[in-house]
Amino acid sequence: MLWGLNIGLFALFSVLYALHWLLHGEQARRIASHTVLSMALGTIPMGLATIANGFVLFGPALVGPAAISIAHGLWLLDCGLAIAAGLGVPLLMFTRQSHSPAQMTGVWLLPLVAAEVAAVSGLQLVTHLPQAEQGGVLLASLALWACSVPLALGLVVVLVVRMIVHSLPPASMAPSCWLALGPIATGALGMALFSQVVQGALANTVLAPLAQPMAGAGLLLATLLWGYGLWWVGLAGLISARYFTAPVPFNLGWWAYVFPLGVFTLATWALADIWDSGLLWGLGVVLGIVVVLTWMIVALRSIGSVWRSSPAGNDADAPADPGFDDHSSVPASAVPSQ
Amino acid sequence: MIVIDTSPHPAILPPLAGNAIRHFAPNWFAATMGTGVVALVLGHFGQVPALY
Repeated sequence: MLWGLNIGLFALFSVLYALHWLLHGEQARRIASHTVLSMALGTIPMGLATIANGFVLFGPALVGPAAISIAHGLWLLDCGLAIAAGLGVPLLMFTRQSHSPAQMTGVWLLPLVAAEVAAVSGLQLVTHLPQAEQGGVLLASLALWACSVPLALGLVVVLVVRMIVHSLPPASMAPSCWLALGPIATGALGMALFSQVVQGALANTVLAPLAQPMAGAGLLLATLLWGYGLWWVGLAGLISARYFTAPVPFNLGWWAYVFPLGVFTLATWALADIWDSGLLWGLGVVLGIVVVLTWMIVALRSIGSVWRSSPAGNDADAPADPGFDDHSSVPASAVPSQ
Repeated sequence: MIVIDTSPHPAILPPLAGNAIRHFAPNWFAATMGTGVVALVLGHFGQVPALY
């Protein structure tokens, strides 16, 4: 039901965004120079990835074998969009935008993480495909993981230095501290899935004798990244507790509270399966409950923000919510016209 | 700051949809990431169709 609702949401947003480009092309092009909104281009493939994963997990029971073909098609589209965001947005940052170290936040990670999210989708899909295709999907998923994780982990270190040198970002960017958990948790989930599927995917190939050590290497990487993620959960939790000692204004950036912790929950459960650990499973349940409750709050507040900006509300001409209200860094030309 | 919006406003669109299209920004897709991952998390609690 929720997954179906999400397909509806994604379709609605795709139509709205296509019409936005069609009718307000000038304004749509301007986000290329917007230091925050352009990062959100990475959320398009990542939203699509959750739908593709749903077709693998829930699809066969709901729509039959066609679900896997649909998931495969969506995954290919996801890969294309993720590569475009991962290459295109950094190029825009270098050439069209002006950034400073003090203004850096976890938002910089969004376009880069899309590729490893696509890798996770590929690794979830791979065992459902014909044996002959599995090796190629496995290789592509590893490449996508590597297009994202090493650079994102480096950028997370820069983010830590930025917080040491320039203190925490303003309250309007409060949720962005959770974005660093995204690449760590996704990297861990990717490697955990890899360790589970590699032996099946490489069976009957020349690499079959190497599949078992590769599974072990994947598990080791997954577990180490997961431990690192645990530290970030603690740090981001403490930072958030500090922010919420004063009012934190709502904006669409609050969605950063949901996705990274959700992926970390999935990674915790994947490792609970592999390690056969009841403790990890229980921790996953606690995290899962936190994620669902957080989602309820953020979803309700998002609906509230739509209501207030609709003509029925009192703020009909409000400009687009940049998600992370970073107006100070936005060139005047990039402010959506009213 | 007031900027004059010169983009065309097709009369065929109802005001609500027109407003939504004019102000739409890609950061709304973050809502599909969050909702999607919650559906996947709920799927792990049990294969109950009502949950996901």
